[in-house]
Parts: sequence; structure tokens; C-alpha cells
Amino acid sequence: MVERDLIDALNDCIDRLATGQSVEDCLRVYPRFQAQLRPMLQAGLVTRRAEASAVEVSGVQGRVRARFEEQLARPQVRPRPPLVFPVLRQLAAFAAAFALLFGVLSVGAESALPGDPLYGLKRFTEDVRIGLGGDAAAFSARRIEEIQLLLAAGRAAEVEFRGIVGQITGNAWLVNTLIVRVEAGTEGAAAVQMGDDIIVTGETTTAGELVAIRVRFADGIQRQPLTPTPTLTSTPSATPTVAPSPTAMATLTAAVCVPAVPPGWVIYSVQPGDTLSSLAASAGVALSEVLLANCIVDAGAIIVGQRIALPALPAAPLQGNSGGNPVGDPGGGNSGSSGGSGSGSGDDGDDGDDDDDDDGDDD
Amino acid sequence: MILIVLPDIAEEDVLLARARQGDADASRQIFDSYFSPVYQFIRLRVEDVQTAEDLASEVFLKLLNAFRGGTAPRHSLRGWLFRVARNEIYDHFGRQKRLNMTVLDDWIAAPDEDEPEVQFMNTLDVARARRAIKLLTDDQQEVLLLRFGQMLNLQETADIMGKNVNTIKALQFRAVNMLRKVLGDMRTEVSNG
Repeated sequence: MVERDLIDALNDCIDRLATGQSVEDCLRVYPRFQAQLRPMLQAGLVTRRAEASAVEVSGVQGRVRARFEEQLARPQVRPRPPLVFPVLRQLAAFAAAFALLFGVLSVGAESALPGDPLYGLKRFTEDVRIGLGGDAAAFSARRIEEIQLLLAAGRAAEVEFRGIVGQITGNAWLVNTLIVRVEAGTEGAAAVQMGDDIIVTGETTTAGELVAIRVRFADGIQRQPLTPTPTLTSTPSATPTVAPSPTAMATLTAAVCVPAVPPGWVIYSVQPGDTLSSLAASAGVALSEVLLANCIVDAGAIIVGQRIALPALPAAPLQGNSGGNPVGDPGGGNSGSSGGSGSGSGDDGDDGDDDDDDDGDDD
Repeated sequence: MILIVLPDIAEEDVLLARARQGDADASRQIFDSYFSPVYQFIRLRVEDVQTAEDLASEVFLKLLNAFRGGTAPRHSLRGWLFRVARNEIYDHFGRQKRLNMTVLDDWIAAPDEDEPEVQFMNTLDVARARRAIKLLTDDQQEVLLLRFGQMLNLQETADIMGKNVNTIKALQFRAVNMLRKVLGDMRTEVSNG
């Protein structure tokens, strides 16, 4: 259909103009539409002609900047202590520190895998699970998951959950997998140390933050401070060599561990009998990668039907059932911006938007 | 023509994080990078410089408040700013739809002698260009300003306008053709006296 091709060609040319190409550059890509495209693109470019002059903009900018400065100087209505934003390095350090800290603290190692990068992590999570009892663990995991969903959706709600304090960095605490902001007014915060098992009552904000209102010890008893605190700089030989991608980094600056699924991974629905380590092995990646991508701390706490991201569906049915249960391709979103087809042939927009929803302007 | 350096996403996220923590320099840096595009966007929809200035100012004060209130975006600030700007414009006009031209259904094939047409477009002055753009529907104006003026990509434009990418593709197609028609009429007027 010629009009559809033309619509796609126009779109591609607009993208090209945005990258600095000229109208003529793009017309060479679409020789058969040259006559139609040229005036369309020139008309579109009239928009740029209509822009305010640099003189006008800089004058206005100066005045608005003064108002902006005035507002900046005004005391904050609601002072917010700085939040700690764990950037990439902190994250990697955290993964290592987490493994180290709790690996050292926990006793016994029945089912642990020595040498496994997540040895310590696994021990920690098992301790939590034992402490809570099986069903309670599943319940707790679900509670955390719910909070993650609230945060991801930017919904404000009052929440309560239990977890071990994994890290305290300024006023940002890592509790279970959640980063909690602790404010001056947070009740009971002063007594809490890393490693404490606490119950946090707080609220999620529309900005995707989790703010603690009150914290209390899960056992109701004040704990002795942990001594000595392992330093985060010493590195265990089995440090996970997890290097989150830039995407993961951007995502993980959020107040919560947001699953950062590498491109190309698929979503698998956990089947009875599956374990994360068997799934990871079957997909040919380290367990740590699967845990990181899915924000799972407790490798043993997956539940049937839980959706997890894997590099590939399991090669063979693990339990004799239908095997893979693909749910969808998380990386399948069309970025919408075509503009890559610089073949120079008469080929027109090949961005794959082939559905028929172009009835447009729902004004 | 305003050249917009595409934001370095990671760097922008860091700036946003700093601004949320109350770092005034980060806020200033954000203001300086985004004032011009936001102002241009508003200015093309609003005739009066003073009004455009007030609306642009409102956008950035809202940003500051959002940093302080914890509601500021963590990513894609550009989209957030244009969305807020758009709301300001709509609020200013009381959401009344102005001149809503009928959609140009049948696209007219290009005349052979398109040279004078293109030439006319290329020599158009700012006032005429503005007048022509104002004859389009709100959506058509917006899509042209975002796609041609601010060089946002299809997805960003779709997000800001609350439509899907296919709708935007069709809309921008109609918009350029409508603008072309309006400019054609204008050219006839000009040549007729």
C-alpha cells in the first residue's frame, strides 16, 4: 500500500533529519517518493523557521532563571535528607559485601556450594528462610514482591514487611531486597544495626521510594550490636564477578532492585520441581546472573508459577511436563524509532510496524 | 535552528539523582540544558512572549518542587518537561479546542512544479511560518513541534502526547500535508497581492 509506505518513509526521514542528515540525503534513500517527500519535509521544517530568535530566548531565559534561583534559595518546605543512590560500583560492591557479610555470619553449610559465587548469599537467605519457616518465607517473598510492584507502579500505599538489614548507607537502608529511606522521624531507627532482623512499617511514594515510618525488631528484643562489622573492602575469593550492564545500572539506581533483564532473555514460568540453579545450568549461565536479572535474593524461595527471566527456555523438560512455558519476550518492545535502514535501495521503512492501527488522531 | 544535543541518559540520570538530593548546581544545569527547548515548544503554541515566559517559568518551578517533593522523574526528564509544558499550555487555554480543521483525508499528489512551493517554504519569515502553523489542529502543531522542532523520536513523542506510535506516524503525515496545504494557500495569497 503506497500510502503506508509513504507514511513510513516520511517517518524515517524525520528521524534522519533529527540525526543531522539533510532532506536530500533522505530523498536518495527513497527515490520513488522523492516528489512527494520533498515538499512534505520542507513543510515540516518550516516549524523550525517559526522558532523564537536566540535573542528572545536568552532574554527570557535570564528572567526565568532569576525566578528559578529565587525558588532555589527559598528554604525547602519539606526537607528531605539526601538519599543514597547506589551507583554501579556500589551495587557490585553490595553484591559482594552481601555475600561476604552473611556468608561469614551464618553457621553451617549443609547444602551450600563452596566456590559458588553466591555461597554467602545463599547461606544468608537460607537462614532467613529457616528463621521464618517455609510458608512464612513464601509469604514474606510475596510481600516484598508486592512492594516492588507498588514502587515500580509509583503507587503510594502503607506497607509492612520483614527483613534483615543488609546495608546501612547514610539514610538508605537495604532491608531484604528493598532500599528503604529512613528519615529523622522514623521511629525506632536509632537502635538498628546491620544484620538486624526487623519489621519495617512504611509507605511507598509515587516517586517510587520506600520511606520508613517505624521500624521494630522482629523478635521484639533489642539486639546486641554486631562486632566487629566486616569491612566492605575486603574481598572474598568467591566474589561474584557480576558486572551489571549500563541498563542494569540505570534501573538499579531506583529505590528498589528492579529486575534488569538483559536483552534477548525470555520469561519462564516456574514449574513444579524447578530450582533456580538447575534452570540457570540448563540455560548455560551462572546462577548469579539469573538472580541479579530477576532481583531474587533467596535462590530457594521461588514458587511454582513465578515468572522469571532466563537467557533461554530450558533445553529439555525438567519435569516431564511441556517443558518451556514462555510467557513473553521482555525485549520485544519496539523502540518506535526506525531510521536504521540506510540501504540506499528504494526500500522503504522496514521498522516492522505491521499492524493496522494507523487510524490515528484520536482527537 | 535549535540544535539539541541528545541527552546522555546515564549522565542525565545522575544529574536527576543529584537534583533530587537538593544539589542546586545540578538543578541549574538541568535548567540551562532544557530551558531553550521547553520555551521554544511553548512559544510556538502561545502568541504572547510574556505568557510563554510565565508558562515556561511555571514548568521549571514545578520541576524544582518535584525534586523537593520526591515526585520528580528518575529518567527521561525531557519527556516529563514537555508533558508538563503541554499541560500548562492546555491549562492556559482552558482546554478549549481552538480552530479544529478537518483532517486532510485525501492527500493531494505533488504537483510537478514543486520548486516554487519549496522555495516559498524556504524563504518564509518567522511571522508567516507561525501563522501557518497556528492554522493546524493542536495535535498537528504538537507533533510537528516535537518531531521536527525538538527532534524527539517517535516513541518519546507518542509518550508525551499519550498516543501510540502508529497514531503519531499517521498524525505527522497529516500534519505535514496540512501545513503544506496551508502554506500553498498562503503562497497564492502572497502572489495575488
